[in-house]
Amino acid sequence: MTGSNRFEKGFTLIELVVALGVFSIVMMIAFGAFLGALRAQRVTFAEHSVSQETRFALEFMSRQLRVASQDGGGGGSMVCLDASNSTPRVFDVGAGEIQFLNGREECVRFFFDDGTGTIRYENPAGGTAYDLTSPTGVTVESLQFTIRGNTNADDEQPRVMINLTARGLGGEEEEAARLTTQTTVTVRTLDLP
Amino acid sequence: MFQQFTQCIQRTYSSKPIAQDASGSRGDGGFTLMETIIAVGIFTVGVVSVISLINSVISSLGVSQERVIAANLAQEGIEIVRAVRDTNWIVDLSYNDGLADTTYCVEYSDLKAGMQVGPGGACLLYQDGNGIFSHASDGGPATPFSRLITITSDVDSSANPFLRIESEVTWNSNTFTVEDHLYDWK
Repeated sequence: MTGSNRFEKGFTLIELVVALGVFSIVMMIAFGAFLGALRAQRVTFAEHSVSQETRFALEFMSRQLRVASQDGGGGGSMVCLDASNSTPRVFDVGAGEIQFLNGREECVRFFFDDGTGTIRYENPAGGTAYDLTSPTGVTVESLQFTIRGNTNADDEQPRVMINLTARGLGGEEEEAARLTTQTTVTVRTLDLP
Repeated sequence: MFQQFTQCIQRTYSSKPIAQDASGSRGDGGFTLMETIIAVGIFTVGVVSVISLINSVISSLGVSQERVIAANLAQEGIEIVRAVRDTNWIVDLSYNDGLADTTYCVEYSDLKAGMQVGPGGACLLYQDGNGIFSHASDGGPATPFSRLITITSDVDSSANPFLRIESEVTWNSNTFTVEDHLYDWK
């Protein structure tokens, strides 16, 4: 009775090896696809937060730069900008930073903090510096400002070019999510001599 | 009824009676080739559609990041033309001086100089070592982005003349356009 019946024989070694082989190949392909999707998802999340943070930072800075006003005009003394230079002007620009009087006549300084990889802003006269980008969301790699028509005497409307590079924070995949954006802002108040 | 049910159970769980009296019946033969092919086919269609959906989501997210760059570059084009108009006021020129109806390549670092290009001009943007976008080809590698400014003089419904500025950024067959109207009102 036993042995002769096909249903009690079990598998032969060959059958077992072939079945295991096919199964493992299928599993390897499925696992590869799954790991690939996981990696793509991490990159996607990083790219998302990088664009989000970049958009916010550029929008926040543009809005204030657009309504910047001249400092030291009409023979008055400097309220916000470097007083050692008495030329009436709108902006003081350094490496990764810009300082100006905003639309509410408040002195503002936007600057790139290399240590934390963030853009921050403060009133240079004192007070707290605030983060403009999240230190746990993205790492800002560079922030550049280029200005034209800064002084009153140059017969040109002031404008600022902002260039910002940020990347994702975390592993290798996140760091690959790098975004460089650039925009220019023309000051709305007419810089008449 | 109950008898039938218990018989059925017996048939299912004890191999001996089935092997002995049901040999050759359909329930015994496993799947046919046709059934297998159809089953595998349905499974494949399902898997392939899921994978292609994932792929299209990932590629559309890549495009959304490029749109952030394009939107900022397009806005930059508008702002530069605006600076030209404002400067015309400062130096007592007509507000549309140097802004005739044609197409332009504008640069963050230029004012008017060499801005005009003929119709159909390509205004490819390059990126230098510091990541700055400009039209200077000696600065660094070409980006996929081009920015063409089109200026058209027009008159609004109250007969006030204005300049229609269209800033169009194109890349890999995608387009982002910003339009602004500049008046001679200070």
